[in-house]
Amino acid sequence: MTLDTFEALSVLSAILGILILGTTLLRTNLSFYRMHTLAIAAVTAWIAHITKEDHLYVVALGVFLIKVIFIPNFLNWVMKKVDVGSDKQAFIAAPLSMHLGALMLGLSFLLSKQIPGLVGGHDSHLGSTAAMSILFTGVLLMLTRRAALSQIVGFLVIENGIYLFAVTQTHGMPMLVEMGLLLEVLVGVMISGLLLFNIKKSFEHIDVSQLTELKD
Amino acid sequence: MAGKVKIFPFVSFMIPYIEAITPSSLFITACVIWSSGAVLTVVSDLTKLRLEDRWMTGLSIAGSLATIIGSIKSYTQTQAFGFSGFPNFGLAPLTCLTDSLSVPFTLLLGLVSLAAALATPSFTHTLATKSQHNHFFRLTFLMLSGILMVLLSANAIAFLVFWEVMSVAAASLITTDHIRHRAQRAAISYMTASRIATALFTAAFLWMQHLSGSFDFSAWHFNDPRALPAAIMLFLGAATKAGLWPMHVYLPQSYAEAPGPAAAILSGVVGKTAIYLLLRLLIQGNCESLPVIYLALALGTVSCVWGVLFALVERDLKRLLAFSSVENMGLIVVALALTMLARHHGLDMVMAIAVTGVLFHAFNHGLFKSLLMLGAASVERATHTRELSQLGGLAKRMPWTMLGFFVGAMSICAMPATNGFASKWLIYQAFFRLACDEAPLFDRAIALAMVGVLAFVGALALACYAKAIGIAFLGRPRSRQAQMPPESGIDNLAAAQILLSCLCILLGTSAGISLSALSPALNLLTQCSNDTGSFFPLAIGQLSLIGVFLTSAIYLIILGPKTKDIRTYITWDCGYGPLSARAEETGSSFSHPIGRIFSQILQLNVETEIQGKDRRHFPEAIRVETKMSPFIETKAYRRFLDVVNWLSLTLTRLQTGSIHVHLLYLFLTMIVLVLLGTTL
Repeated sequence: MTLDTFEALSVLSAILGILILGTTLLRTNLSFYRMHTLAIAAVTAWIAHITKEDHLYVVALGVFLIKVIFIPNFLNWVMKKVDVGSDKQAFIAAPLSMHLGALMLGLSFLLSKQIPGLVGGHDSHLGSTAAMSILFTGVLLMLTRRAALSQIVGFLVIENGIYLFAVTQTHGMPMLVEMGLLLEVLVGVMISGLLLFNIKKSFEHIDVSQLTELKD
Repeated sequence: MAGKVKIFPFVSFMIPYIEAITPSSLFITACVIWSSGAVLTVVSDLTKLRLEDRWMTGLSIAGSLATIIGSIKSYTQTQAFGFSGFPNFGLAPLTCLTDSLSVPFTLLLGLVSLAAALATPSFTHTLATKSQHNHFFRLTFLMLSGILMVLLSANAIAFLVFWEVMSVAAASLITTDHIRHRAQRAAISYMTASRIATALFTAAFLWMQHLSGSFDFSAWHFNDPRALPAAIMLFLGAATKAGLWPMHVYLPQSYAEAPGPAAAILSGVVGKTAIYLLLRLLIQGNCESLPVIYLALALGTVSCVWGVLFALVERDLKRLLAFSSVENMGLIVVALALTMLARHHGLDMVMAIAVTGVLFHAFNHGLFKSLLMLGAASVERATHTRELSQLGGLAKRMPWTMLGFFVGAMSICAMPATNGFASKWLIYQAFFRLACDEAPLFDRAIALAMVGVLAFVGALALACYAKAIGIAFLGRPRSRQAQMPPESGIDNLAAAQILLSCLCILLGTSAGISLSALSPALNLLTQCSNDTGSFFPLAIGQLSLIGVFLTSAIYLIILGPKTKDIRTYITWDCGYGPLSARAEETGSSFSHPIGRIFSQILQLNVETEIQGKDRRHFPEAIRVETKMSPFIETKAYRRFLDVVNWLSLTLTRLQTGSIHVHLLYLFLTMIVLVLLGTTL
């Protein structure tokens, strides 16, 4: 089995994603998220190089600017403002959840073999493995952590997984769609950042496990 | 003739044009008149325009007359017409058909809506606000145009569209008095039943479209064994709409809560559209599969018995009439099943008689049930109650209502010289003929048993209406509400009742002639030529003429001179002097013996509590309580609803409110979906 460069990069991003699970320090989480997204931006650029689709370069640039530079910086700023450094009392201890994430990577490898290719000839099992693993990582992150900030990171990781799946399997959606998605993520993160301030102000904490009024 | 032409040159000039008018244009005119009435009410809601009741009643009557004339014109000519352009429902255009089968039903619609329109002012003057007026008229108009188009639709899609218009309008018409809790409940149950019927129809129509490749009713043939599920669904849907057991539970509620004129249309025509559909599809489509036949026979028979038993013990006048509708619908469906059975065995004569019975009884029931409903509306208007235990002695105060109600009750109990007699006689005759004909022993035995069931049901119906008339109209007033001032002459409501009573008597005395008029419809349905008039050889008309002549002779010659000796006195009290109204027999006590016999079915419980030292001879206080819990509602539907409620309550526990648990659900769902997607 030969690893294409972009497949190697996708798996790298998946592994970096799993590393997010390995610590409860929010600052480190964000750094890993930065690297993980950087790998995804590289995958996009590499696919643009292979398929000669120039608009993917622009998308890669957008991913880099928004997801690698702006969003982590913004979340760092929010973190300082609400004065929460780490996500204590996760439901599952960090090392254990990291191992779970690794297990999920194996599971996604098995699953992705079953998924029929979307683009004839160009479909990449390793690409979809990485994408699904990132998806599961994001879900694990959201499920096991208590701090609202980790939820945002988890959501961003899930989004990355979906994006990677699309980019490796279809070799890029139309530019407009990609840009729209990017903007949507940006707005979503900013709104949730502002919500965080309000949660902190009203409840003196950002522990989502105590917010259980979400029912009739 | 020449003189007439001189006097009416204008009319004679018009005659060719009048003859050139096609039924389709008349039906469209009726529909346009009614729809424009509905539009007018919307305009009136939005602006300061105040619609006089007279104008709206006039519009209603104009539409009814156009429908009646259209039916008469389409008696001789079959016409298919359609609109390829504007009213296109996507899957099929609006195509219509008037033929000899739709004539009896459109005519019934025209007559009943005419009577209801005549009676309308008596109801609308009780409505306080302008918006209530507009609501009532708008929905009545919508319902009428819906019914008319349902009867004319030639394809399934158009049928469903207008069926919905009709059902939704009917349901919200029931809530005219929407403040009352009972009206709300009635509308909701009516809506539920309509939904079920529509769902079954849609499924059946799609099935038939799949089989035949067309949405046109004329392209569907039900003698194909693959059409059996469609036929069963169609029958169940129609049974729900017609109110057969066990889908009848919505009928008493909705008929009782609907405003008087609307109740007349609902009970008179809306239920008959289901019968029309069965005739149009199952009979014209040559359905002869035994499962459908036996299902129809079983449900029809149970409905007959069930309906009449509940009518007998009912204490509310309008609910009594509604249960009696269940009985009559059962009767019609039994005759319909007999038609299919006779076709299955190839017995043309039995089939012809039975299908004539279906057509004639559906028409007659539409007439006398709306007559009785208007009578009940008249009683309710005068006394503000429908409880039989509060009524009594109305005959002296409301002679015209009494007359109309009496004729209606005579007809529904199938007394000779009324139309009910003629149609029930046909149904009996069909069963007798099948019992004596060359059919398998099993079917002949069923036919013979059915004759017994029909006789039983007929006797109970007689008891039921004897109770209704006896308790409500005879005797003394049982409450202060029943002691209202006597009605002043013939008002709108009485006129409507007199119109319908005359039609009942007329159709009954001229049964032979009116049956001959059904021949084209019969020949369309059975594909063999018969003169339906010959099915009814009794000389009812002549006999009644002689009877009328003799009675008047006796009255004039023998009783006439003695008229001055007759004096008016209070209701006879056996010479005891002034009796209290509480000494009278009540509705419950009248029906108690029969209720006791069928107490298992009716779930009738009587608790008697006698207090006092020597309870047998010197009771101090006696308390009697009659409890009746309808079997189907409490045992079947209530249980089902309990299960649904329990499930819903259990499922809400899933909604914990915790973000993590909700995320877990999402995650698990995603995994399951991925697994399903990869394995399937």
